[in-house]
Amino acid sequence: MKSKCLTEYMKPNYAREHLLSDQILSDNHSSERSLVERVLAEDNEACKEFIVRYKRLIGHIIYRMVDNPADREDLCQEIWIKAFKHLKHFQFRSLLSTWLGRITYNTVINHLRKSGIPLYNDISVDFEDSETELHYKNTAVTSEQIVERRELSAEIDTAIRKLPEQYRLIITLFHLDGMNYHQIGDITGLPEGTVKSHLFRARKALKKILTASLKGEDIYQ
Amino acid sequence: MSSQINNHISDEEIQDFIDSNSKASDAGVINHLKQCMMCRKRLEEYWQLYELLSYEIPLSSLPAPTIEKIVSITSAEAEAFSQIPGESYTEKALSCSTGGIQTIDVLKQNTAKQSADGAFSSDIVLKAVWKKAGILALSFLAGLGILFLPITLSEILTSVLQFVINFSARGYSYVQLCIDFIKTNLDIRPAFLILKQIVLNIPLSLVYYLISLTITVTIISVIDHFIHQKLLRRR
Repeated sequence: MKSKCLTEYMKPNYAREHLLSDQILSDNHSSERSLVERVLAEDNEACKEFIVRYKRLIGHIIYRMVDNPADREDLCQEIWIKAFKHLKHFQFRSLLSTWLGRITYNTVINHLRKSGIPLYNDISVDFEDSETELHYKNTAVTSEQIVERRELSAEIDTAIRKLPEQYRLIITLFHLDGMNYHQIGDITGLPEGTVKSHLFRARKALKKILTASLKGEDIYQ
Repeated sequence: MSSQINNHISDEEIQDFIDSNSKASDAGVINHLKQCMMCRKRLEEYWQLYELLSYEIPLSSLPAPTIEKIVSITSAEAEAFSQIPGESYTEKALSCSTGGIQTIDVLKQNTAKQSADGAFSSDIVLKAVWKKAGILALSFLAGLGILFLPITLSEILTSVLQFVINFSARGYSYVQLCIDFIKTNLDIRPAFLILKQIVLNIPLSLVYYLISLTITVTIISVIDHFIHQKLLRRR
């Protein structure tokens, strides 16, 4: 174990960090309002800015919840068309990212239901403590580790795909999009407590899956 | 102290500690971690997991919208909707007046036949109709004047037929519009929306037409009745 101060293990506080102060929230809203107004006025540049600003969030949700690449592309177009079509009804009661996340989530869920994919299936791994440790190298970004990082990224991606769709989404929104429990709850329609427990269970299961998959692989030793 | 070591902290507590959500119990967790090697290892593993989870998904793997395509589809849709019958007041008004004008034409010929003695030409009749139409329209309920109908059923059917032909011609032009959209945008969804809108508008347009037909027929037939009475009195 590296000699690391325990407090260094504490992530920047996601939950509190994202409880935006009124000032930041109001700045966000006014910037969003101005963008939305420009989009509604059919300003093409604003439309492009709107897409560029939020395409990663929408892309993350679709990518994590849908396995078929062709379906992902179709859903992506459908969601953006929906977003533009309904933008005039956006009331600024939530962040634009939450609103877009909800549209994306609902569309993806409908797609999954039509495809007959169960949404709340239990994770197939058990939660007993593993005897094997995870041995990752220090993952700080250096030029020689880019390839390795890509490989690790693919590894984690494969592991995440073994989780139920709901867990995949919550993990992604929390870790990649920096959303807090409240925002994730707004998107998925789940209470904050449920979001938190899903997140914990998902990480625990992920740790278990990764431990099993990385066991004995030299590249991580 | 040994009992504290034996009571290992749970996975949830470790995650909470990393997320910094559990300030109140942090002190206890830190104390335990200082003494328990096993929990420190689990903490390390979770920390590494957090690191992995924060790796960005390569942009090339994410589904991306074709910006130009989205913008062109949405603006084309907006344009198409503005052209659909029943979507604007002007279109509705036009639809009504088409039926009304056709009916007036039929009645004009009919009234001209009735005033064959030349005392009233069809133009005079129409002038009288327009003069009194405003006042009379207020006092007539739709359908009441049907009792005084001086026109034949075949004439009404002709008028209805004209409306149907007119509507079909328009429908054809909207179908053409849909085909153009499909060809231009390679996307069938806007075309479906337009077709859906047209289908939904058929009953609405028919209702408008029937109302306009009934009101026009009522007004003109009553006026016609008065004119006829006047002619008879003169004779």
